[in-house]
Amino acid sequence: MSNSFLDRTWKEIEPAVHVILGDEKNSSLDSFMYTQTYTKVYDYCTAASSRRPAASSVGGGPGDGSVRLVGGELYARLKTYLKHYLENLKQKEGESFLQFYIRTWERYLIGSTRLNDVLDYINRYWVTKERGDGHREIYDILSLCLLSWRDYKFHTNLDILMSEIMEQIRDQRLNKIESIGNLSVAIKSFVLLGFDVNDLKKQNLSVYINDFEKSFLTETYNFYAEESQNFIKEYGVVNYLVKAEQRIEEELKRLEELNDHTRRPLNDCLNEVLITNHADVIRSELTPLLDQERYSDIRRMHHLLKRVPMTIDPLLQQFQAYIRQQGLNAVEELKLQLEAQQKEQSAVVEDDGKSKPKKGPAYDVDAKTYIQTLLKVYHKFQNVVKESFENNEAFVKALDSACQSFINYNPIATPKDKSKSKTPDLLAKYADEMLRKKPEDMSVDELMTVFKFIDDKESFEVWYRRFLSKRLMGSTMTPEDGEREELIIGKLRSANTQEYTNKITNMFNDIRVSRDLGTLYKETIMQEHNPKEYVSDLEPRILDSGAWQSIFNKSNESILLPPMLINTQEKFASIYQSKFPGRQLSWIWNRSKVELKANISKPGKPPFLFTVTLFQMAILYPFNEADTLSVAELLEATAAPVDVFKANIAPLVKNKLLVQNPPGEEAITKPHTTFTIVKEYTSKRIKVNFASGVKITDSKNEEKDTNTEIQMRHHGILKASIVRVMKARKHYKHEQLTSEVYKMIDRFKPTVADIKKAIEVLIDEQYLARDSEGTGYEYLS
Amino acid sequence: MTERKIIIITSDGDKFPVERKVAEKSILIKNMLKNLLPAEEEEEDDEDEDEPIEVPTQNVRSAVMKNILEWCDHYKDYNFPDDEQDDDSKKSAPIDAWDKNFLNVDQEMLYEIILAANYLNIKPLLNAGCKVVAEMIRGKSPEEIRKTFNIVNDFTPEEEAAIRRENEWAEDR
Amino acid sequence: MSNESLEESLKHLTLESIRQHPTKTREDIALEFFELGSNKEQAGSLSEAIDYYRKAYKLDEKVDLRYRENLVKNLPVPEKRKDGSVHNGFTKLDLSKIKVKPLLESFHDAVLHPIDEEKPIWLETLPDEVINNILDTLICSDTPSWFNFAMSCKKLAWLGFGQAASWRRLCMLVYPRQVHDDSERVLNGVTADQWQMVRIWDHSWHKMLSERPFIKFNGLYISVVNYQREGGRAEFSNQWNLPFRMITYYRYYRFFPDGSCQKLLTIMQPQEVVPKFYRNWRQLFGTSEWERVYEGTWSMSIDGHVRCNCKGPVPMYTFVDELQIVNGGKYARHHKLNWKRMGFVNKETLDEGDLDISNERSFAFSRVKSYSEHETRDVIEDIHSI
Repeated sequence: MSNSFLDRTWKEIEPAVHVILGDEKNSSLDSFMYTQTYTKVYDYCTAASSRRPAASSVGGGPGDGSVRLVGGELYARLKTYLKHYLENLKQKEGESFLQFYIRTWERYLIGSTRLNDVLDYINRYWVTKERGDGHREIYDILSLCLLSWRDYKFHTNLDILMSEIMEQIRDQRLNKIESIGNLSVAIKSFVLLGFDVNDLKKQNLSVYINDFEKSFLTETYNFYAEESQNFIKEYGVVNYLVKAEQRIEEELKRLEELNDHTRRPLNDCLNEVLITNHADVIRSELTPLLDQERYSDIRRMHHLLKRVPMTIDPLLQQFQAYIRQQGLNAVEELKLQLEAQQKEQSAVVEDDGKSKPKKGPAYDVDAKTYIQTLLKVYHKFQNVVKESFENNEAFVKALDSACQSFINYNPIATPKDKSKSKTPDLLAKYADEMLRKKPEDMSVDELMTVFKFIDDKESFEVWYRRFLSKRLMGSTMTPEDGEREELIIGKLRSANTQEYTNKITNMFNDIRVSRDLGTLYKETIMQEHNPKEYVSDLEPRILDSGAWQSIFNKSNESILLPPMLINTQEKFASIYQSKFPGRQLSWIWNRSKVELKANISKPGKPPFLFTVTLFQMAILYPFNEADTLSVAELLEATAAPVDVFKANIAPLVKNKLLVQNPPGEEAITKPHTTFTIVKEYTSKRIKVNFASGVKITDSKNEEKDTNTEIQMRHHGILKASIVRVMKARKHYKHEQLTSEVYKMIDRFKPTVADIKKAIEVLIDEQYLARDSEGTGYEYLS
Repeated sequence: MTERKIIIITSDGDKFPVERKVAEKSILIKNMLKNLLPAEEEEEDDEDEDEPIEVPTQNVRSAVMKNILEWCDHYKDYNFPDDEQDDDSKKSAPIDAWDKNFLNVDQEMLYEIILAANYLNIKPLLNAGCKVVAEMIRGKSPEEIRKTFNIVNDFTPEEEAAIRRENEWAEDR
Repeated sequence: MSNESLEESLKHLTLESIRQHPTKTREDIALEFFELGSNKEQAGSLSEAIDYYRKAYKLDEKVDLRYRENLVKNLPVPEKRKDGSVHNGFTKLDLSKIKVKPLLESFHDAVLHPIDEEKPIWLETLPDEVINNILDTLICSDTPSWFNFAMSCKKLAWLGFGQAASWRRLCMLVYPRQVHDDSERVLNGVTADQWQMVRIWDHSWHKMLSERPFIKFNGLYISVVNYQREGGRAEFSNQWNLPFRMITYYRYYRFFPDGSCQKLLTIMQPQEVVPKFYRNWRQLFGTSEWERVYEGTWSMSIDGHVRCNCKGPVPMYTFVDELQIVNGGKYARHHKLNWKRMGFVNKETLDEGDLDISNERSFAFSRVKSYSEHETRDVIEDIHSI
């Protein structure tokens, strides 16, 4: 077939193609022109296929086993036409290239879409077949139009186009232009210009990324590198935080105008240029802001830095160190204050000329003040974490770590580097004070808050029990007191383990059981033949020696029991033995108290009620027979050790029940010194307590004893842990054993020396043996 | 809002007023309407609104168009899936009963309908037509096929044997 | 010599009498045995034929060659035709000079010619793209009809065979249904995207279909094995005409695109097996020893190595058949399955073992019209609905 048919067809459709793509007069396309053009193309393709041309001009070579359906000729004509059309588009006067590009692109895109439909018959068969046969250089009509635009309009003008776009964006950033609506038309055109030759329907961003996005990101980076540097220099970090946030927001809004592909790289770019590059400078502002308590500025800092997670870690460290320092400072301040007070007091005492230089700390630490000082720091920064860091978990953790550090180790708790922390003792004291005095400014929650941070929970427990024993032995507890005690025990239990509070619970039980025994005793003597031979009001306390260890220490002082008590003692012992056969009952005389009725009032007045220790009773008892007795006689009658005798008789003398001759502290234990009981005792109160004046020997050594007990406990736990590990491992290297034991123990922090010592003891006790290499141990079963 | 009237004009000048969804079974017409009436919703008070839009179909004569429109009307509320992926199962499925009956026309009309469906881009109808033709071929020997379609065997015996030998294996799959 | 007399004369020969035969050599007698075997074979008495062939070979190892020489020598010389070609009663076409590919391309511009000039050729009114649609429909629904349609004239041969579209369609129908195991996908990069795969065959769909092996589903594979089994034989016996038995058995394999397969080892002939060898064979076969169908799974490598794991007579073992897809001669592509290995795996210990395949014969594919996709689909649906 001759080319004249092709020429004729093309001549017939060319004017329509021009109208469709957009001519100067902007003529409109009507339905007649539309279907006529379609029909011309259809006629050409179908007629040509049944009346075949001798040789297809575009047709494939004979070797590939495929022929080209007719359509190729028209396709080629169109391709040439598009080039010509695009190259002849005219820029209007006064129009920038960008405006020209946007104006013509908007029209061309509509035209291309229509042309694609009008020339559908070429797409439907010829293009489909060519692509099906692997001719990837053939495109559907729309893609052909877009490709032509890319080749003849876009790439040829790339430099001017990009520079005008970047200029626009720069102007927007400098607030010179408000709307960028048109710009997005141009930018979105780049998306359509990328093709995946294998699948035309698949979006391909190659043009957008390579020709636009790259330079956009570079431009963005450069712009903000300069701006941010200048801004910080001029307005400082705090203002920069606001500025950066605002810039990021603006740029993210710009994403609406861009392809979403840019979201990540733009984010990365902004994060780097606005945040990472200035992170050190920004962070250095944290300390001053904390000092000035400008928490909303800190929040802004966190909000900004949070965008780049790796900048947060150093911030956390800085925050943690700051809190710790604040804690240490607060304690140091307290310490100075206490020392000053102490000095004032001792200055007063020194005036009396009685003061002696003391060992140890030159001040007494008030547990309440101390604990509240710690808590104040904690609460302050807990609030900062909430206000500035949105209670972010990492910051909560930093706060906890900091608190743990300064609560356990500070100038008061650990005056010397290696000393054992005193915080557990003080916290136990705090608890004791709270439970005894019930002041409103102390609470269980606060106790638990500090408890949570205590490293050496064992130590706290021992101290707690010591105070508890005093509370239990001392004044009677009201039911409300009991509830409060149990509340704390419950909390301690849930914060630790059942086992942790076992002993404490046992102590309560002992008291309860003792009460029952007392009742039983009373019932028993009522049935006795002669109840008057027994003391009727006996309040026994039967205590388990394990839990009440502190009571048992140095409680072996003996005495000759006043005869009238002997029956009672024997009676109670037999009741107890019959109820708990096999248990050993030891009597702790120095804890016993007696209430005496003393008929030495002025005539007509009711008798006095004296509260005395058992020892005091033993001393007073012989005065029933004689008014004056010598020290030698009294010691013989009571068989008390001299220092106990001294401690007990002193309050009697001081409170003028006995008259000492000769007087003076020196003479109090001289054998020939005599004591005479007054004929008539005078006191404003009927109840007189002589017992409270007795200095219990162990109070002096309380701290030492307790610490010894704590050490024993630590040692015991260590040994148990070591044995447990070795039982499982049989053979283990020293370092491994040490580190495993260290990890295992959570209630206190053993030192390497502690562990070593425990191992030595276990070797002595033949639980372990050194291995042959001398670097580890073997378990001996 | 009333829908704009569509009038299809055939090659021999007959006019068929049709519902838009009937006309749009032809992708040619559907695309054309999409392209020519894009701003319709925006310009509601356009003076042309009541003016019917005329669609000339230069290659279809009235008698054939009548048939085509009957088909389109039958399927006006049915959405043909657009996926080309499932093509081979669609192609191997037997012809729809209604289509088969609809295409039970004389040979001349059958081929004209196929041609028109191709021209108007009504793929389901084109495929149905091709299936009808395929049915005429099915199970026949080459010689029987030639008789059915009135075509001469223009091979030499050698050509026929060689082509047969070379390609016959491909019928098993 | 007639069969009967020949048979009569040979029947009672012993080794001794052959050695001392007055006129005939050992080779002559072998030839006679062979001829008799051939006659028996043509008459359909296979076991007798085998018997005589065996005797013939015992006497002369090369008896078959000699027999063929004699046969050709005795044929009448064909008469020479005028044009010099040999005429054997039918026209022997010389296809050796025809190159099909260029031939098809030369049909590029062919048009349809009417048998009856008075009548129209309606097909002629359709543009090529519509005829392609018809060809495409045929390939999908009834591939042999596509072939017959394309065989009807030059123009249709060009449209049906000469263009890539038909071959692409066939590839799209064939290859996505082949089953490859994971390692094949990973190691050899076999993907379901045939556009990707066709690159290996120079972007030629026809080349891919011709050269890339595939399993066919519209039919079954049959292997026929004939062998002779010796009867009892007394020790030191001098007798050489021993009782033989000719045994024929069949192996059948059918594959499905979902990766399952079924096989049968039987003496039943194809005409008995084919109508029953469906997915629901349980309802169609009896329970005799020869009707035990075993099911299993199959997969193949890109070069046509097929591995089938099937159940078998011993429950503890999986039986492994490894087969190679090969062409049956030059033109029947991917038509046969050659044996590579027969073995078994203990399901518990994973111990493997091999079985002897020296007696096995290749499988050949047979198309079965009713084994279409729809049949298997219907049956699957039936099974699900039970």
